Amino acid sequence: MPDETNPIPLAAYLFGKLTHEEQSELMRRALSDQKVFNQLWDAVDQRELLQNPAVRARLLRRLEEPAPRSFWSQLFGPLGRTLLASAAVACVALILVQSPDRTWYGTERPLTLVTTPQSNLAEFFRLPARNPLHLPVDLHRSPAVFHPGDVIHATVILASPSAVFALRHDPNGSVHLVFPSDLAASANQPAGEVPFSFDPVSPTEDVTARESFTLRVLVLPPGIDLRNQSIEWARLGRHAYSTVEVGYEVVP
Amino acid sequence: MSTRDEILSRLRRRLVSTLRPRFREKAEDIAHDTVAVLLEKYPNVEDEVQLLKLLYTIKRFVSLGAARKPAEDQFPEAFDSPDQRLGAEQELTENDKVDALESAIGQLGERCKRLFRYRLKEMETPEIATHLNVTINNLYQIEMRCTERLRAIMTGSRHTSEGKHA
Repeated sequence: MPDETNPIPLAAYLFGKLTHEEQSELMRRALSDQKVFNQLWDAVDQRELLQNPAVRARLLRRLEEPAPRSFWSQLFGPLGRTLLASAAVACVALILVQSPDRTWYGTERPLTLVTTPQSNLAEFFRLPARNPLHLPVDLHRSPAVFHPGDVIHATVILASPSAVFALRHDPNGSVHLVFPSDLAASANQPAGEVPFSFDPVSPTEDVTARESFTLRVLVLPPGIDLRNQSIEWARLGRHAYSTVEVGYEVVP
Repeated sequence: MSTRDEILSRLRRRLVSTLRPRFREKAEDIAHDTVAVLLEKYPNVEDEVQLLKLLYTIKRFVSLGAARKPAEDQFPEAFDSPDQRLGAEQELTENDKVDALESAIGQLGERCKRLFRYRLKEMETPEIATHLNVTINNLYQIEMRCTERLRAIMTGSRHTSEGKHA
Protein backbone atom coordinates (compact mmCIF):
# COMPACT_ATOMS: atom_id res chain seq x y z
CA MET A 1 0.00 0.00 0.00
CA PRO A 2 1.44 3.41 -0.88
CA ASP A 3 2.28 5.39 2.20
CA GLU A 4 0.04 8.45 2.05
CA THR A 5 1.92 11.46 3.33
CA ASN A 6 -0.58 12.74 5.82
CA PRO A 7 -3.61 10.46 6.22
CA ILE A 8 -6.45 11.44 8.52
CA PRO A 9 -6.05 9.63 11.87
CA LEU A 10 -9.78 9.07 11.94
CA ALA A 11 -9.93 5.93 14.07
CA ALA A 12 -7.48 7.35 16.57
CA TYR A 13 -9.78 10.38 16.81
CA LEU A 14 -12.87 8.18 17.11
CA PHE A 15 -11.38 6.16 19.93
CA GLY A 16 -9.95 9.20 21.72
CA LYS A 17 -6.34 8.16 21.22
CA LEU A 18 -5.01 11.46 19.91
CA THR A 19 -2.97 13.69 22.16
CA HIS A 20 -4.16 17.24 22.75
CA GLU A 21 -1.63 18.51 20.21
CA GLU A 22 -2.56 15.89 17.61
CA GLN A 23 -6.23 16.69 18.02
CA SER A 24 -5.59 20.41 17.64
CA GLU A 25 -3.59 19.74 14.49
CA LEU A 26 -6.44 17.64 13.14
CA MET A 27 -8.91 20.44 13.85
CA ARG A 28 -6.71 22.92 12.00
CA ARG A 29 -6.63 20.55 9.05
CA ALA A 30 -10.41 20.34 9.17
CA LEU A 31 -10.62 24.12 8.99
CA SER A 32 -8.53 24.22 5.85
CA ASP A 33 -9.67 20.99 4.19
CA GLN A 34 -13.33 20.26 3.49
CA LYS A 35 -12.69 16.53 3.22
CA VAL A 36 -11.23 16.39 6.72
CA PHE A 37 -14.04 18.61 8.03
CA ASN A 38 -16.63 16.22 6.58
CA GLN A 39 -14.91 13.14 7.93
CA LEU A 40 -14.87 14.54 11.45
CA TRP A 41 -18.44 15.78 11.14
CA ASP A 42 -19.60 12.34 10.07
CA ALA A 43 -17.62 10.74 12.89
CA VAL A 44 -19.19 12.78 15.68
CA ASP A 45 -21.98 10.35 16.54
CA GLN A 46 -19.72 7.31 16.64
CA ARG A 47 -17.11 9.17 18.63
CA GLU A 48 -19.70 10.19 21.18
CA LEU A 49 -20.85 6.59 21.55
CA LEU A 50 -17.31 5.34 21.87
CA GLN A 51 -16.61 7.64 24.78
CA ASN A 52 -18.98 5.53 26.83
CA PRO A 53 -17.09 2.70 28.61
CA ALA A 54 -20.22 0.53 28.68
CA VAL A 55 -20.60 0.82 24.92
CA ARG A 56 -16.92 0.04 24.41
CA ALA A 57 -17.18 -3.03 26.62
CA ARG A 58 -20.24 -4.22 24.74
CA LEU A 59 -18.55 -3.79 21.36
CA LEU A 60 -15.44 -5.54 22.57
CA ARG A 61 -17.52 -8.48 23.76
CA ARG A 62 -19.11 -8.62 20.35
CA LEU A 63 -15.73 -8.62 18.63
CA GLU A 64 -14.40 -11.35 20.86
CA GLU A 65 -17.29 -13.68 20.16
CA PRO A 66 -16.41 -16.60 17.91
CA ALA A 67 -17.61 -16.08 14.34
CA PRO A 68 -21.00 -17.65 13.59
CA ARG A 69 -20.86 -20.73 11.35
CA SER A 70 -23.63 -19.67 9.02
CA PHE A 71 -22.37 -21.86 6.16
CA TRP A 72 -22.88 -25.04 8.16
CA SER A 73 -26.16 -23.96 9.60
CA GLN A 74 -27.41 -23.27 6.08
CA LEU A 75 -25.97 -26.46 4.65
CA PHE A 76 -27.45 -28.77 7.22
CA GLY A 77 -30.92 -29.00 8.64
CA PRO A 78 -31.58 -29.54 12.36
CA LEU A 79 -30.90 -33.28 12.11
CA GLY A 80 -27.65 -32.76 10.25
CA ARG A 81 -26.51 -30.26 12.82
CA THR A 82 -27.31 -32.66 15.61
CA LEU A 83 -25.32 -35.44 13.95
CA LEU A 84 -22.45 -33.09 13.26
CA ALA A 85 -22.45 -31.90 16.85
CA SER A 86 -22.49 -35.47 18.13
CA ALA A 87 -19.56 -36.38 15.91
CA ALA A 88 -17.68 -33.30 17.05
CA VAL A 89 -18.28 -34.14 20.70
CA ALA A 90 -17.05 -37.68 20.10
CA CYS A 91 -13.89 -36.38 18.39
CA VAL A 92 -13.17 -33.93 21.17
CA ALA A 93 -13.72 -36.64 23.77
CA LEU A 94 -11.31 -38.92 21.89
CA ILE A 95 -8.70 -36.19 21.71
CA LEU A 96 -9.10 -35.41 25.39
CA VAL A 97 -8.73 -39.04 26.35
CA GLN A 98 -5.64 -39.51 24.21
CA SER A 99 -3.93 -36.18 24.79
CA PRO A 100 -1.26 -35.92 27.48
CA ASP A 101 -1.95 -32.18 27.57
CA ARG A 102 -5.62 -32.25 28.38
CA THR A 103 -6.04 -28.82 29.79
CA TRP A 104 -4.83 -27.20 26.58
CA TYR A 105 -7.82 -28.42 24.58
CA GLY A 106 -10.24 -27.50 27.29
CA THR A 107 -9.09 -23.92 27.41
CA GLU A 108 -8.20 -23.01 23.85
CA ARG A 109 -10.46 -19.99 23.56
CA PRO A 110 -8.50 -17.67 25.87
CA LEU A 111 -5.71 -17.70 23.30
CA THR A 112 -7.65 -14.91 21.66
CA LEU A 113 -6.14 -12.84 24.44
CA VAL A 114 -4.21 -9.73 23.63
CA THR A 115 -2.47 -8.40 26.69
CA THR A 116 -0.90 -5.01 27.12
CA PRO A 117 1.29 -3.53 29.84
CA GLN A 118 -1.93 -2.13 31.29
CA SER A 119 -3.69 -5.47 31.43
CA ASN A 120 -4.92 -6.81 34.71
CA LEU A 121 -2.39 -9.44 35.81
CA ALA A 122 -5.26 -11.86 36.32
CA GLU A 123 -5.44 -12.06 32.52
CA PHE A 124 -2.26 -14.14 32.54
CA PHE A 125 -4.06 -16.79 34.56
CA ARG A 126 -6.56 -17.10 31.71
CA LEU A 127 -3.85 -18.40 29.43
CA PRO A 128 -4.21 -22.11 28.82
CA ALA A 129 -1.93 -24.13 31.06
CA ARG A 130 0.63 -25.83 28.88
CA ASN A 131 4.14 -26.98 29.44
CA PRO A 132 5.74 -28.20 26.20
CA LEU A 133 9.19 -27.61 27.67
CA HIS A 134 8.34 -29.78 30.72
CA LEU A 135 9.71 -27.14 33.01
CA PRO A 136 10.20 -28.21 36.59
CA VAL A 137 9.41 -25.62 39.25
CA ASP A 138 10.40 -26.38 42.82
CA LEU A 139 9.51 -24.47 45.97
CA HIS A 140 11.98 -26.58 47.93
CA ARG A 141 9.59 -27.38 50.74
CA SER A 142 7.41 -30.38 51.24
CA PRO A 143 4.66 -30.01 52.13
CA ALA A 144 4.58 -26.52 50.64
CA VAL A 145 3.39 -24.68 53.73
CA PHE A 146 4.78 -21.32 54.72
CA HIS A 147 4.27 -18.67 57.37
CA PRO A 148 3.89 -14.93 56.92
CA GLY A 149 7.37 -13.45 56.94
CA ASP A 150 8.96 -16.51 55.28
CA VAL A 151 10.66 -16.13 51.95
CA ILE A 152 10.07 -18.77 49.30
CA HIS A 153 13.26 -19.71 47.47
CA ALA A 154 12.04 -21.34 44.28
CA THR A 155 13.79 -22.55 41.15
CA VAL A 156 12.83 -23.25 37.59
CA ILE A 157 15.11 -25.10 35.21
CA LEU A 158 15.34 -23.76 31.67
CA ALA A 159 16.49 -25.81 28.71
CA SER A 160 17.32 -22.67 26.76
CA PRO A 161 17.58 -18.94 27.45
CA SER A 162 14.10 -17.59 28.17
CA ALA A 163 12.14 -14.75 29.70
CA VAL A 164 10.74 -15.83 33.07
CA PHE A 165 7.84 -14.35 34.98
CA ALA A 166 6.24 -15.59 38.19
CA LEU A 167 2.78 -14.50 39.28
CA ARG A 168 1.17 -15.15 42.63
CA HIS A 169 -2.58 -15.61 42.80
CA ASP A 170 -3.88 -14.72 46.26
CA PRO A 171 -7.01 -16.23 47.81
CA ASN A 172 -8.78 -12.88 47.49
CA GLY A 173 -8.35 -13.05 43.71
CA SER A 174 -5.61 -10.47 43.41
CA VAL A 175 -2.57 -11.29 41.32
CA HIS A 176 0.97 -10.04 41.89
CA LEU A 177 4.04 -10.26 39.75
CA VAL A 178 6.66 -11.61 42.14
CA PHE A 179 9.44 -12.18 39.60
CA PRO A 180 11.19 -10.22 38.22
CA SER A 181 11.02 -8.41 41.51
CA ASP A 182 11.19 -4.94 40.04
CA LEU A 183 10.72 -3.21 36.72
CA ALA A 184 14.43 -2.55 36.29
CA ALA A 185 15.29 -6.24 36.53
CA SER A 186 15.45 -8.16 33.29
CA ALA A 187 13.20 -11.14 32.78
CA ASN A 188 15.72 -12.75 30.44
CA GLN A 189 17.48 -15.70 32.02
CA PRO A 190 20.20 -18.05 30.76
CA ALA A 191 19.64 -21.77 30.34
CA GLY A 192 19.96 -23.81 33.52
CA GLU A 193 18.63 -23.43 37.02
CA VAL A 194 17.07 -20.05 37.68
CA PRO A 195 16.52 -19.23 41.36
CA PHE A 196 13.95 -16.66 42.39
CA SER A 197 12.66 -15.59 45.77
CA PHE A 198 9.41 -14.01 46.84
CA ASP A 199 7.09 -13.44 49.77
CA PRO A 200 4.50 -16.20 50.13
CA VAL A 201 1.98 -13.55 51.11
CA SER A 202 2.03 -9.76 51.04
CA PRO A 203 3.88 -8.55 54.16
CA THR A 204 0.96 -6.32 55.03
CA GLU A 205 -1.54 -9.18 54.87
CA ASP A 206 -2.96 -10.39 58.17
CA VAL A 207 -3.22 -14.16 57.89
CA THR A 208 -5.67 -15.54 60.45
CA ALA A 209 -6.42 -18.91 58.89
CA ARG A 210 -4.86 -21.37 56.45
CA GLU A 211 -4.91 -19.90 52.96
CA SER A 212 -4.12 -21.38 49.57
CA PHE A 213 -2.05 -19.58 46.96
CA THR A 214 -1.11 -20.43 43.41
CA LEU A 215 2.16 -19.56 41.76
CA ARG A 216 2.17 -19.49 37.98
CA VAL A 217 5.53 -19.42 36.26
CA LEU A 218 5.34 -18.19 32.70
CA VAL A 219 8.28 -18.84 30.39
CA LEU A 220 8.52 -17.03 27.08
CA PRO A 221 11.10 -16.57 24.35
CA PRO A 222 13.84 -14.16 25.43
CA GLY A 223 13.09 -10.53 24.71
CA ILE A 224 9.37 -10.79 25.35
CA ASP A 225 8.34 -8.80 28.37
CA LEU A 226 4.81 -8.74 29.77
CA ARG A 227 5.58 -5.54 31.62
CA ASN A 228 6.21 -3.29 28.69
CA GLN A 229 4.94 -5.10 25.58
CA SER A 230 1.58 -5.95 24.13
CA ILE A 231 1.26 -9.61 23.28
CA GLU A 232 -1.18 -11.19 20.90
CA TRP A 233 -1.02 -14.70 22.32
CA ALA A 234 -2.60 -16.41 19.33
CA ARG A 235 0.20 -15.13 17.12
CA LEU A 236 2.81 -16.34 19.54
CA GLY A 237 2.05 -19.93 18.60
CA ARG A 238 1.06 -22.98 20.57
CA HIS A 239 4.50 -23.91 21.74
CA ALA A 240 5.97 -20.48 22.23
CA TYR A 241 5.26 -20.33 25.92
CA SER A 242 5.10 -22.65 28.89
CA THR A 243 3.24 -22.23 32.11
CA VAL A 244 3.64 -24.19 35.28
CA GLU A 245 1.44 -23.82 38.31
CA VAL A 246 2.31 -24.88 41.80
CA GLY A 247 0.18 -24.41 44.88
CA TYR A 248 1.22 -23.71 48.43
CA GLU A 249 -0.42 -22.78 51.68
CA VAL A 250 0.22 -20.10 54.23
CA VAL A 251 -0.68 -20.67 57.87
CA PRO A 252 -0.70 -18.13 60.71
CA MET B 1 -14.33 41.79 10.42
CA SER B 2 -12.62 40.46 13.57
CA THR B 3 -10.58 37.29 13.65
CA ARG B 4 -13.39 35.52 15.47
CA ASP B 5 -15.88 36.63 12.84
CA GLU B 6 -13.58 35.37 10.13
CA ILE B 7 -13.27 32.01 11.82
CA LEU B 8 -17.03 31.72 12.27
CA SER B 9 -17.56 32.70 8.67
CA ARG B 10 -15.13 29.99 7.58
CA LEU B 11 -16.88 27.46 9.80
CA ARG B 12 -20.23 28.42 8.33
CA ARG B 13 -18.93 27.91 4.79
CA ARG B 14 -17.49 24.52 5.71
CA LEU B 15 -20.74 23.53 7.36
CA VAL B 16 -22.83 24.58 4.38
CA SER B 17 -20.67 22.41 2.13
CA THR B 18 -21.08 19.50 4.51
CA LEU B 19 -24.84 19.86 4.90
CA ARG B 20 -25.77 20.69 1.31
CA PRO B 21 -25.82 17.15 -0.08
CA ARG B 22 -28.35 16.13 2.56
CA PHE B 23 -30.32 19.28 3.30
CA ARG B 24 -30.00 21.07 -0.06
CA GLU B 25 -31.52 24.57 0.14
CA LYS B 26 -31.96 24.31 3.92
CA ALA B 27 -28.22 23.88 4.43
CA GLU B 28 -27.58 27.65 4.49
CA ASP B 29 -30.21 28.23 7.16
CA ILE B 30 -29.07 25.35 9.32
CA ALA B 31 -25.46 26.45 9.12
CA HIS B 32 -26.49 30.01 9.93
CA ASP B 33 -28.44 28.87 12.99
CA THR B 34 -25.60 26.69 14.14
CA VAL B 35 -23.03 29.43 13.93
CA ALA B 36 -25.51 31.69 15.69
CA VAL B 37 -25.38 29.29 18.61
CA LEU B 38 -21.63 29.61 18.73
CA LEU B 39 -21.91 33.39 18.55
CA GLU B 40 -24.50 33.59 21.25
CA LYS B 41 -23.48 30.88 23.67
CA TYR B 42 -19.72 31.10 23.44
CA PRO B 43 -19.00 34.83 23.03
CA ASN B 44 -15.59 34.61 24.63
CA VAL B 45 -14.14 31.73 22.67
CA GLU B 46 -11.69 33.13 20.15
CA ASP B 47 -9.54 30.11 19.36
CA GLU B 48 -10.37 28.46 16.05
CA VAL B 49 -9.64 24.97 17.30
CA GLN B 50 -11.90 25.44 20.30
CA LEU B 51 -14.67 26.87 18.13
CA LEU B 52 -14.45 23.92 15.77
CA LYS B 53 -14.54 21.46 18.68
CA LEU B 54 -17.65 23.24 19.95
CA LEU B 55 -19.20 23.02 16.53
CA TYR B 56 -18.70 19.26 16.47
CA THR B 57 -20.00 19.04 20.01
CA ILE B 58 -23.31 20.66 19.09
CA LYS B 59 -23.81 18.51 16.02
CA ARG B 60 -26.63 16.55 17.57
CA PHE B 61 -28.54 19.78 18.11
CA VAL B 62 -27.92 20.70 14.52
CA SER B 63 -29.56 17.46 13.48
CA LEU B 64 -32.49 17.95 15.79
CA GLY B 65 -32.89 21.57 14.73
CA ALA B 66 -32.68 20.63 11.08
CA ALA B 67 -35.38 18.04 11.53
CA ARG B 68 -37.71 20.76 12.78
CA LYS B 69 -37.02 23.29 10.10
CA PRO B 70 -38.80 25.06 8.52
CA ALA B 71 -41.81 24.40 10.75
CA GLU B 72 -40.33 26.27 13.66
CA ASP B 73 -37.21 28.26 14.16
CA GLN B 74 -36.41 27.10 17.65
CA PHE B 75 -32.98 25.57 17.35
CA PRO B 76 -31.03 28.19 19.34
CA GLU B 77 -33.66 28.27 22.08
CA ALA B 78 -33.83 24.50 22.24
CA PHE B 79 -30.12 24.42 22.86
CA ASP B 80 -30.73 26.29 26.13
CA SER B 81 -32.24 23.23 27.70
CA PRO B 82 -31.08 20.15 25.90
CA ASP B 83 -31.99 17.89 28.79
CA GLN B 84 -35.66 18.71 28.41
CA ARG B 85 -35.48 17.61 24.80
CA LEU B 86 -33.51 14.48 25.45
CA GLY B 87 -36.27 12.44 26.95
CA ALA B 88 -37.17 8.81 26.43
CA GLU B 89 -37.31 9.26 22.68
CA GLN B 90 -33.75 10.50 22.52
CA GLU B 91 -32.65 7.76 24.91
CA LEU B 92 -34.15 5.21 22.57
CA THR B 93 -32.33 6.81 19.70
CA GLU B 94 -29.05 6.42 21.56
CA ASN B 95 -29.78 2.76 22.15
CA ASP B 96 -30.64 2.36 18.50
CA LYS B 97 -27.34 3.95 17.60
CA VAL B 98 -25.44 1.51 19.79
CA ASP B 99 -27.38 -1.40 18.28
CA ALA B 100 -26.60 -0.14 14.79
CA LEU B 101 -22.94 0.35 15.61
CA GLU B 102 -22.67 -3.12 17.12
CA SER B 103 -24.41 -4.70 14.17
CA ALA B 104 -22.25 -2.81 11.66
CA ILE B 105 -19.03 -3.77 13.41
CA GLY B 106 -20.14 -7.38 13.22
CA GLN B 107 -20.41 -7.06 9.45
CA LEU B 108 -16.90 -5.71 8.93
CA GLY B 109 -14.10 -7.79 7.47
CA GLU B 110 -11.75 -9.61 9.80
CA ARG B 111 -8.96 -7.07 9.44
CA CYS B 112 -11.19 -4.16 10.38
CA LYS B 113 -12.64 -6.10 13.29
CA ARG B 114 -9.16 -6.82 14.51
CA LEU B 115 -8.21 -3.16 14.29
CA PHE B 116 -11.30 -2.09 16.17
CA ARG B 117 -10.62 -4.74 18.78
CA TYR B 118 -7.15 -3.32 19.31
CA ARG B 119 -8.59 0.17 19.63
CA LEU B 120 -11.23 -0.98 22.08
CA LYS B 121 -8.51 -2.66 24.09
CA GLU B 122 -6.83 0.75 24.38
CA MET B 123 -3.73 -0.30 22.50
CA GLU B 124 -1.54 2.57 21.41
CA THR B 125 -1.20 3.44 17.73
CA PRO B 126 2.50 2.44 17.40
CA GLU B 127 1.75 -0.93 19.02
CA ILE B 128 -1.06 -1.60 16.58
CA ALA B 129 1.16 -0.66 13.66
CA THR B 130 3.82 -3.05 14.96
CA HIS B 131 1.27 -5.85 15.30
CA LEU B 132 0.16 -5.37 11.71
CA ASN B 133 3.68 -4.78 10.46
CA VAL B 134 2.70 -1.51 8.77
CA THR B 135 3.74 2.10 9.16
CA ILE B 136 1.59 4.41 11.25
CA ASN B 137 0.56 6.24 8.08
CA ASN B 138 -0.54 2.98 6.52
CA LEU B 139 -2.40 2.10 9.68
CA TYR B 140 -4.29 5.40 9.52
CA GLN B 141 -5.18 4.70 5.89
CA ILE B 142 -6.45 1.22 6.68
CA GLU B 143 -8.41 2.47 9.67
CA MET B 144 -9.90 5.24 7.60
CA ARG B 145 -11.22 2.70 5.10
CA CYS B 146 -12.58 0.58 7.92
CA THR B 147 -14.30 3.59 9.43
CA GLU B 148 -15.77 4.59 6.07
CA ARG B 149 -16.94 1.02 5.54
CA LEU B 150 -18.50 1.03 9.00
CA ARG B 151 -20.33 4.23 8.23
CA ALA B 152 -21.50 2.90 4.88
CA ILE B 153 -22.94 -0.19 6.58
CA MET B 154 -24.63 1.94 9.21
CA THR B 155 -26.06 4.31 6.65
CA GLY B 156 -27.26 1.43 4.53
CA SER B 157 -28.89 -0.31 7.46
CA ARG B 158 -30.55 2.91 8.55
CA HIS B 159 -31.95 3.43 5.08
CA THR B 160 -33.14 -0.17 5.04
CA SER B 161 -34.70 0.30 8.45
CA GLU B 162 -36.38 3.51 7.34
CA GLY B 163 -37.58 1.72 4.25
CA LYS B 164 -39.18 -0.93 6.39
CA HIS B 165 -40.97 1.66 8.47
CA ALA B 166 -42.16 3.52 5.41
